[in-house]
Amino acid sequence: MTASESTGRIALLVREPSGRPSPRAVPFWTWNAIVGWVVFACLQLAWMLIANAWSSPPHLGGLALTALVAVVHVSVMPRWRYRVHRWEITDDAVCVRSGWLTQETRVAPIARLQTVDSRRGFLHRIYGLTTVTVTTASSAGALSIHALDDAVARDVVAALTAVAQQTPGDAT
Amino acid sequence: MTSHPVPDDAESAERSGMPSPGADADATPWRRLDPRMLLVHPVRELIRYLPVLLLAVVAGSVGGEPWWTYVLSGLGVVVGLLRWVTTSYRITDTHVQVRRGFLNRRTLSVPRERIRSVDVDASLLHRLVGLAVVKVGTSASHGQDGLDFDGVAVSEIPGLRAELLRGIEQDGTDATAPSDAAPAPLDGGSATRGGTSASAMADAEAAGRDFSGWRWSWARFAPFTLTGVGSLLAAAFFALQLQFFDGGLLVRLPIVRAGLDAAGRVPPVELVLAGAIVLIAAASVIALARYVLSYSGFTIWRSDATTLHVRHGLLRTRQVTLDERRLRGVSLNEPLSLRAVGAASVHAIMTGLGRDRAGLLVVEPAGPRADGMRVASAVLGDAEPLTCELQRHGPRAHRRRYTRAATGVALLAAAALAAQALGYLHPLAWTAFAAIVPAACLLAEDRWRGLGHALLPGRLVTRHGSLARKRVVLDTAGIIGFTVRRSFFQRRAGLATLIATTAAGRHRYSIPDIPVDEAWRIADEVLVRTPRAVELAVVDPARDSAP
Repeated sequence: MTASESTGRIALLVREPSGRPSPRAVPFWTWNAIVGWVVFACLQLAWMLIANAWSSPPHLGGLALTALVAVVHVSVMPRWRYRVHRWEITDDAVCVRSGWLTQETRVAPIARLQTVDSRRGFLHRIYGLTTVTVTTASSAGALSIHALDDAVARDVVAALTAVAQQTPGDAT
Repeated sequence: MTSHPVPDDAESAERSGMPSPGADADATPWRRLDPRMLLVHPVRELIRYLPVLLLAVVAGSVGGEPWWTYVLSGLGVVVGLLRWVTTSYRITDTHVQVRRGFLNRRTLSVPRERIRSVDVDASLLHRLVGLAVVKVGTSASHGQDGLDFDGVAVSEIPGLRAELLRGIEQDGTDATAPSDAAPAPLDGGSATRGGTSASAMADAEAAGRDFSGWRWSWARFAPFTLTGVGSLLAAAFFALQLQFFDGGLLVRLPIVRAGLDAAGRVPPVELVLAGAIVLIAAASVIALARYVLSYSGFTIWRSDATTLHVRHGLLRTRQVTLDERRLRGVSLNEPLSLRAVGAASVHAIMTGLGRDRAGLLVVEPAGPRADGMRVASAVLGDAEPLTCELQRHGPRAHRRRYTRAATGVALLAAAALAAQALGYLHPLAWTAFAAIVPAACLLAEDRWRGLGHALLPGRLVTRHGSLARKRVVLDTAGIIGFTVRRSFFQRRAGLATLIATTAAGRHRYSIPDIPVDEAWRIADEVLVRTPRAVELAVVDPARDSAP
């Protein structure tokens, strides 16, 4: 084991990671957002049903506002997100950029990784996508690489699992 | 300790419970907790069932049949007694094991090198019978089952503590604690060696000199810690919940009704004044009581270079002993109210403290700022990170303090407008904005004056906030990674929030509104450039016991 691995030091800090999510991420995020907004609108309709307020202006206004925000969100967010999301795994560090309105870049030395976790929800499987999450000893330090192509994700998980096992010492 | 060897049980535990690596063949006898717990358990269960029992007695007096309540309480007592009977523990050369459970037996097995702290917690009930709870903090106690020994005789505790902490000296696995460079072999020989050092540690424990400087007069700072306000808010929340969800239960209570009637006859200005005075007085009394109960007799001392002890409490006393190599920094807390009276409190940021302390250990309760600084630098072993000049974040960060304050005022105004439209608000209430606007400006300016950071060799310093200002000193060796977060407006202003993630304390410490290039420079310095040698020299001058 090299000194950099055991101390958690890295050779190079990547500010602009190069890897991108799968292009299928855009329709995936779109449908994800649509599902969320439909659920929200259904809850609003249920409230109107219970309160028997089909013609009350505040309720109708609320529904219209939801529709407006939903349309803007669904049309803007996925493409914006795709432009922002980046990831890169160097020899000794993992770097991930995510978000859209608020953007986050997270860096963690590979020596500090504790677990590697891949998640495929129902919608993920339809689009053949996987989200890989690596955790560190800090509950605030988890990194998620969103919407990777299944095949790419398998390679990433294999590579990360191999190095995570090699390196003891997790800064606790 | 009253020890009862139970030879047969050792094997059954291996079969039914989880495997206990490395300790299977160990012949160390299992020990029981102190039998005086047989007194504590029933009383504690009865106290827990007291409200139900009282209701049952009331119901019984009007002809009800509350026999099930007595059965339930009796069952609680029996469960409490069973807990003593079914719990046993042992400390082998490599592991600490606790076995508990009646139907579902489980054995919790923790490698001794994972032990980070020992917390002795004695409630009034325990103290009456001369017992205390020994809680063991491990490197993974966040969200995990802790090792608690509920009921150990006070006279046994120094020995047990020394025995538990002996493993720390042999810890050689953690790469970030550079001082444990010489792991002792974990064989039979180390047990005898450890045995002598255990008693030596127990002796040395009393030897250290208290450097907290705590005095009873410090209780005067208690009302300024705002813990009383927090308690009142919690009480108000509870009361409102009763009011809304139990169909106005509160207003139906005669005493509340009488109070409201009386209040209705007083003119509004006097009512507001009187209400404020009553609330402030109540908050102060609560804060004072809490301060005296938890921090009376506050002492902090070192028994050797790496072992720190903290003891405090009036009725319920607590004593924490911890491995200082797990110290990752300190936080000097100066909320506006404490700053106004020249006071501060100090927390140590550590790993392995156990769940209920959330990684933070009070090493100095609210007291004079000078004492806080003295203790903080003594714990840190270095005063510079606490006193050094901080780097400011530039005019854009300055402007952002004001735009954020303005946003807050605007939101408040919008809420007031909505309330007025719905008829809940008297137009005169708008005069309050004559006070709110200047207050927001002052707050913004104070937040700006508090904002700053510094990167010293081996230490990252950040200070921010006004109402809850903190100066946090973090060892760069304890920093796991960085998050650079930029909101839409931060990107426009060229600023970022740099968040250092760590396994200690709150797990995340942020530097808000730092220029983005400076954020990346810090991440680069900490993660890439800092040579290991510099860190060793700076971070662990006193703690390095390696040859």
